[in-house]
Amino acid sequence: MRKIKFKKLKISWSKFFGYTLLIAVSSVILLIFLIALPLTEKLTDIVAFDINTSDEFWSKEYFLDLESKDTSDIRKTRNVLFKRLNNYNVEEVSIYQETDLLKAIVKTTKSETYVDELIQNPYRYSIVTRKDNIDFDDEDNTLAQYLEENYDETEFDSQTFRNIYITKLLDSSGEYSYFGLAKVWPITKSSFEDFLKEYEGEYVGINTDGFVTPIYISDNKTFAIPMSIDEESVELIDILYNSGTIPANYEVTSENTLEVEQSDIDYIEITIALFLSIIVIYLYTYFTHIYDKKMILNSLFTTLLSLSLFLVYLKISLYPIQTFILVITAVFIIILSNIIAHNKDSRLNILIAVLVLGIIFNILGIGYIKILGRYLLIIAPICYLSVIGGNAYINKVVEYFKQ
Amino acid sequence: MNIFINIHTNWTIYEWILLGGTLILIFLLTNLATYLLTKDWRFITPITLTYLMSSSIYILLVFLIHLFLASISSFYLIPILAITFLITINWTTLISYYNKFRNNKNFTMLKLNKEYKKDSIRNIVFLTFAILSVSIFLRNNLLYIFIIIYITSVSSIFINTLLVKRFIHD
Repeated sequence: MRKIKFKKLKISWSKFFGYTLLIAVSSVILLIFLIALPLTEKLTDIVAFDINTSDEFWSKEYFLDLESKDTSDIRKTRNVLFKRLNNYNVEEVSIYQETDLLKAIVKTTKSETYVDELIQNPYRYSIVTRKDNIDFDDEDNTLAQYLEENYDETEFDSQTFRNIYITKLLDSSGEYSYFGLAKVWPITKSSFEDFLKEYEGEYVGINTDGFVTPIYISDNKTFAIPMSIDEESVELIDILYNSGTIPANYEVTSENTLEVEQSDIDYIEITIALFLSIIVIYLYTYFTHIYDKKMILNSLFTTLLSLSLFLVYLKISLYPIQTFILVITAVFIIILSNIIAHNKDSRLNILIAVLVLGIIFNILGIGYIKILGRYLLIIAPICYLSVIGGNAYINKVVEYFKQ
Repeated sequence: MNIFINIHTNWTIYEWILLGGTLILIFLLTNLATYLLTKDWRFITPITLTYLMSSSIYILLVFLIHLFLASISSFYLIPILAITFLITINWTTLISYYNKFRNNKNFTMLKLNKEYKKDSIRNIVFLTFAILSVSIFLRNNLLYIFIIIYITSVSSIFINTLLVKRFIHD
């Protein structure tokens, strides 16, 4: 019988791994495009993903009657209220004086309950101590520990503290809970420490708008205010404690719901329009010879990849976004990807510039500017990485096809 | 004038400080970055004038829209970010190009001007298509905002190329 001899198979492992990697990257890119396209979340029920559009705006006006009619107090109250609402990312806020009242108008997609909380509560607080003649352990009067009249005022109030730092700490039951750690100004530090020393091992209270929260002083260095377990309410309390002090009490005399013209932009239509517009832009650049063919291919691919990555981020994180903000951000992505792709020498500088703009707008911005500033911080690295990664990928694909 | 009086009375000091602070900080940082990257004071004038002109065009357009089309709300602050973003990244391409090639033998300011003009026109083309394609689906305030963004940034970028030609030459 004749023996068949096979030629020894030579495998170039570097090429093998190169191909494998290219196939893997291609699959990931295909998956990114697939997830980014509208309605693809309906194709599978294994993973939940969809754009969480929050277009349900509501609007309300509140009339606030201030105890003090002093112009400086009114100005401070307006500032603090605005700061609170802005820190909670309320999109549109207007607070101004109308006759003897302060009028606050809000238009937002944020929780109505929480916005009400931010406006209705002055959140003026002070430290109080228990009156000697009150029995706080009386089972027939369990509310005694929460009533303002059962406590004596101290010299310490919101002016004593620099801020209330909110963090998770172990509570008496051994579980982690939120606490607000009071950070005092250097000028009041020693007197406050003396106060804590005096009441160590006893209960004092924090009187907020007439409601007292009992606080046990476990050591003479820490003043920890117990907080809610719910993360969103903790965010709200953080804002109320740390956005300045309302100088005088007020009460909301009336509030009216206002009509809002809801935006009727369909995100599916818009997404398709954006993808089509990118293709039209590059067809135009192709026929007008603004760029060479390879550059057009690279740039088209990286722009689509940037937009898709951003949509994938939104779909997977389920981060709420207003459709019109999505439109504006998408236009930014188209421009930014194109500029980064065609200006090799400026890439890093552009990335830094957009990040700096994003940081400034996010920290110092108001309303929509603050929200868009946050998106600049997301799209800058996405566009940069898409251009770098996308170009490398296209070059590799072209290289393998040429072999 | 009603619009300006309303803004003056309805805005809190906190809003004025934040918005003013943001714009002044960006203006100063752009000028600082421009000087650090170019080491040439001539580059400061075009970008300063561009920012000033863009703010004038923006205010004029907001005023016209308030006069003829719609009432102005804080929604109309969005173009401030968009215009600043577009002008700044377009300007970054110029100063980065200059920073990279200024020591080359063949480098001339004329070449820089030509390159910047070419880049600016490309950016305007992209911006035109991107805004046109989405504008079809927009109405009322959102459409007006895109019109403000488009007119202000395109004219500012164009004016900027003219200013660069006027102030920066061999």
